[in-house]
Amino acid sequence: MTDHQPAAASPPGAAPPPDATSEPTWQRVERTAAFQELVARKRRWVRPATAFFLVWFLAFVLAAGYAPDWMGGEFLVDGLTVGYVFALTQFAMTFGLAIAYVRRSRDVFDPLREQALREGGDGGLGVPAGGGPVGDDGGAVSPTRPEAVR
Amino acid sequence: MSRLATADGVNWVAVGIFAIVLGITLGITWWASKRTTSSAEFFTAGRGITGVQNGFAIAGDYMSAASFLGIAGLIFLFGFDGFLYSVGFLVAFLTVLFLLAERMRNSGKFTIADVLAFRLRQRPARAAAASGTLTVASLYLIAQMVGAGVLIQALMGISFQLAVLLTGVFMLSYVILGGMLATTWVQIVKAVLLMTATTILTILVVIKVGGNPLSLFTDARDNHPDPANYLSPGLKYTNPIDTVSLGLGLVLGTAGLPHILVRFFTVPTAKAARTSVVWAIGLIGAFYLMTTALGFGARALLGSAPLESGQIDPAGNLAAPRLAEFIGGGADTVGGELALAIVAAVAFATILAVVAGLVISASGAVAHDVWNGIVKRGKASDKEELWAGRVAALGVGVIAIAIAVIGGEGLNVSFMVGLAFAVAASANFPALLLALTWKRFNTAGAVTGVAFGIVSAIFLIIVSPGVWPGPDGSTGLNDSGSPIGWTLGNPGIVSIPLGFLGCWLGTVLSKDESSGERFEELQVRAETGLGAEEAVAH
Repeated sequence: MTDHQPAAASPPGAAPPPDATSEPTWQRVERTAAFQELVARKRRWVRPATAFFLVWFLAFVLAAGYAPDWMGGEFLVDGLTVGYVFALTQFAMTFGLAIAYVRRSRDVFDPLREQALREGGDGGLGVPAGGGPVGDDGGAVSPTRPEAVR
Repeated sequence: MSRLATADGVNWVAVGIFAIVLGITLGITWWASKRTTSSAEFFTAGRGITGVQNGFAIAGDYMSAASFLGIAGLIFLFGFDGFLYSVGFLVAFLTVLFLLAERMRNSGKFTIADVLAFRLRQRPARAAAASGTLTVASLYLIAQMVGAGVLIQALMGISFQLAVLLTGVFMLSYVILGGMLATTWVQIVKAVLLMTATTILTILVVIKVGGNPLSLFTDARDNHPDPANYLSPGLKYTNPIDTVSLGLGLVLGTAGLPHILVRFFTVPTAKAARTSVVWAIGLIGAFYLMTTALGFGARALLGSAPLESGQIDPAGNLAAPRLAEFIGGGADTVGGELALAIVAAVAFATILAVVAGLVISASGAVAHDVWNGIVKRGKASDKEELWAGRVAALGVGVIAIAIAVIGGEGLNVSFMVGLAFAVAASANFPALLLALTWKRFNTAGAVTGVAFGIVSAIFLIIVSPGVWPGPDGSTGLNDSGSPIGWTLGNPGIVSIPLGFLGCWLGTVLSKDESSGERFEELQVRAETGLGAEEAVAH
């Protein structure tokens, strides 16, 4: 097999992580409470946020398609239209949701991710790209490479 | 009369500024070429680009001449309907941020196909994903090359063929010699140039209309032949379903553009990938807000006269350059010529950055997926893959240059860009999203989904009314000459669901449930970065 056929994962026990259980690192990470919480909390945030921006954007294009007169109507002052203000809310929404996602990631998702890796895996290093030698290219290259220290 | 309208002479000021821009980019390429000695360096710049740098590079990769000149022109011509594109192009990045950026970084190596091939059967998955990538990249590439030829011809006075060849030669130099590192820095330089030029132009335009941004709208409206409707939707898109279809294609298509997605492989961590999208959103959002000033400003300050005299082409692409010329002092003044030359150089840099990004993403699909993944079954050495990447870039580039030169100005640019977005949204996006989120998804589903997406998007565009009244699509979309009576110019509302349907149908019709466990592993890796590709140490 080719790339991303991780040596640590396919046959159990090949390239064991530091604590030498036969279980691949990813399964131990998967079973940590932190990982389960990460997946659940991310889903709880991303799904409604995605639904919200899609609906708000669809409302905008639907209004443009089906209510052009309303969209072309004056908003408070001459020259400013309802449609343009609606478009500006799309810009504000995009900036706002992007910032909210980054904050959420920093405060909630990243700590959970680090915790899951710490508990699940690699000798408590908490290294994002650790977890046993992971060969790419059929294991030809990576095993000689030291673990990531970042 | 300015010589630029008739293209009967070479604009030497523009050529001089071009030469400076080209000199800078060649310097970057020379520097990058010495640091490109492995396949990871060639395809991903050694994963050593920072989040902020990548944000600028994404912005430089994304904002094509179609954004800079095309949207300004559409707003100039159609008012509000042109601005729809600006909104869709920006909101699309939320799809990228929430669903793909970090997961791509964590689970891919060089190409979109890596993510699918991780849990699906290698060769069919790579074949499907590479087909999607190559279809999108080549359509977009040819569109950009033709656009480059037309614009450079109009702005500088050199011939279409020479302009395409020049663009192609520089594009190939960056990619083949400097790989992703050179491509990235060309994109960063371009983003800085484009943002600076657009910001200055916007400020000057607002000053010119009297300092009140609202005057942009009122003056533009009063200068348009249809003042009652200029600020309302509906001047370009009269069919509401078509408007919605366009919106869907824009907001989901970006998340399937290979040249954007491979940018996430160039940063060291998922966190940097996230940071880069936020920077890109800031830059791209600011830019698209300013397209208001360019498009409405051109209408407010220039009126309809330049359109009637041919100074602005019927597609409106020259609206922004003419606006700059006017702000600089008008045609045949030193300031006007200089401003026009600067905008022309920025447009050229804009195109170069985008085509370089497209070529390197396509070369990854050919070298890493088709050649190494499918033909050599992953046995190629690092050096072989590096050279395969260079050869693939050369091949893709030469074919695109040839089609652009032979097909020439007759190829419709917006038609092909629309097709690229439609295929990206209908073929690449569904397969990629489901590979990352749906446990039951399997190889048959990916292959069927990509096939459904590509075929339906291409078919619906070929029968669309924009193709049949004439190649420029300027005839009203409602008097359709389509052979099957199809009335939608944008296929997304049909082809995107068909892409998802294909993924689902292929999956449930096939008994194969073997990719479920690999899905769990992919999910752990995508969410945590476990086992992710590391940055190359220097």
